[in-house]
Amino acid sequence: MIVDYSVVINKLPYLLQGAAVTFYISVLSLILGLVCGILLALMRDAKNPALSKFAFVYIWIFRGTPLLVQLFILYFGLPSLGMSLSSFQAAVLGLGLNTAAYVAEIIRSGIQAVDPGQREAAKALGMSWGLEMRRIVAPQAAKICLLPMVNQFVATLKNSSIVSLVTVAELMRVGDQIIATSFNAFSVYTSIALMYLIMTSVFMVLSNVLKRKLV
Amino acid sequence: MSETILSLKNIHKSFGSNEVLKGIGFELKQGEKIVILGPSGSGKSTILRCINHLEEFQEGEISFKGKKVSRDELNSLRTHIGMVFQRFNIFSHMTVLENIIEAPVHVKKMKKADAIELAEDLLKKVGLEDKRDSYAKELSGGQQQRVAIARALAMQPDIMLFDEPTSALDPELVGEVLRVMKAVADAGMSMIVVTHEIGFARDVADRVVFVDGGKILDDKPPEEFFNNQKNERIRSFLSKISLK
Ligand SMILES: Nc1ncnc2c1ncn2[C@@H]1O[C@H](COP(=O)(O)OP(=O)(O)O)[C@@H](O)[C@H]1O
Ligand SMILES: [Mg+2]
Repeated sequence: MIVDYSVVINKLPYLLQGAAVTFYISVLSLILGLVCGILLALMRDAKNPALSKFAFVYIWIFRGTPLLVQLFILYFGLPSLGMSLSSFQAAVLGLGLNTAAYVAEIIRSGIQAVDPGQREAAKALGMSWGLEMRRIVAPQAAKICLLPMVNQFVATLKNSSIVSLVTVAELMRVGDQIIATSFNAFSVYTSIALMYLIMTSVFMVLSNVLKRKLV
Repeated sequence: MSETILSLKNIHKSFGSNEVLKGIGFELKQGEKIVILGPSGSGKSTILRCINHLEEFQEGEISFKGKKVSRDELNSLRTHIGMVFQRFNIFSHMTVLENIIEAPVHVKKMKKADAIELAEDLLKKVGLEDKRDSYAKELSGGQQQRVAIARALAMQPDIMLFDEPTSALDPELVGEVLRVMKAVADAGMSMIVVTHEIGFARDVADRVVFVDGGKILDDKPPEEFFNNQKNERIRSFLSKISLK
């Protein structure tokens, strides 16, 4: 019998541990992606042309090349420049820097969607750029960005399965190792899919709670 | 005669190759009310936006209380010059009260309790004390514009600029906004008002400035301007807007 879930039950502690690593890597990458993405979005529209060009090139490269190639450059490529990262560091950095490019575009279009009249009113009241951004633009852009941002977070969580290829012992890699000895590909992969589904669902539920608070 | 609070000298402003202001100059004295008239696209909004430096200009000088404004004093200058927009621009994520106390608390660092007291007093003056917890989308245009006036007044400015404050309003809502503006004028505020409301201009203005093609064609007290207008171009403009 090929479809046999007993192996999944037996190896459940390992799978759960892998899922925990997946969740951990995803959350760290999201935080990194969010912070860098906000900075990139602000740089992209800065008056200083050097900042704006840097952000443009960054976003262009990270959105225009495969995540897998980016990860391989970080993990297998950097050592030839004398810098080596652990597989975990490479995973978080690669996933985070990649996410940042997408987050930047989401935030940028959210900021641009805020009615320019709102920003003029803020300026006319004597607000500095920072105050205007924080008090007027950010709260209004946040509402606009919420849905695409949740989509991006879910995408990052799912994309994290790729970091198994730079040998991080996350959910996907643990599953591969179990299959290598038990030959139960169907039951193991479907169980892994279910675990990803549970994690992405947690994100979506959280975002719905947040949405109700914001609107 | 009272002192000059604002003076514009030979302001030139272009958007790209399109020269929109071609040497605008006038003075506003303490407590004086100027109404700016002129056809659409003549540069009226641009004049107001240059005064509080929402637009940069290429040539000329604007001084406030006798001092030329430098780039790093812009935010401080703007706290002294209130502005009311055609499209109200009430902060949509804040209540009426929050809109009014926002700048006093965060820009002027006024204590929140004092700002609320001030805001409630202003809401009474514009007749909206029962709307303090409403959002813009729950208000009519006239009510939103009265909130915008209260919000600008909360900074206790020296000058108020109005850019066609009633142009976006349904006709039946124009009166309530003009009444509030009249009250602000009667309280002694120095004002520059861009409007097509001839009645308001006759009633409130000390001077009417007529702008056409980025130049000032006329600048005189309303009786003379309206009753004894010699300029053919201005006469035809006046007859067109009084038909509406
Ligand atoms: N941000 C802008 N960019 C380019 N052209 C502009 C801009 N704002 C205004 N203009 C042009 O400047 C001219 C004067 O505009 P404006 O001051 O708004 O006129 P008014 O308020 O008298 O109707 C118009 O021809 C308009 O097209
Ligand atoms: Mg205008």
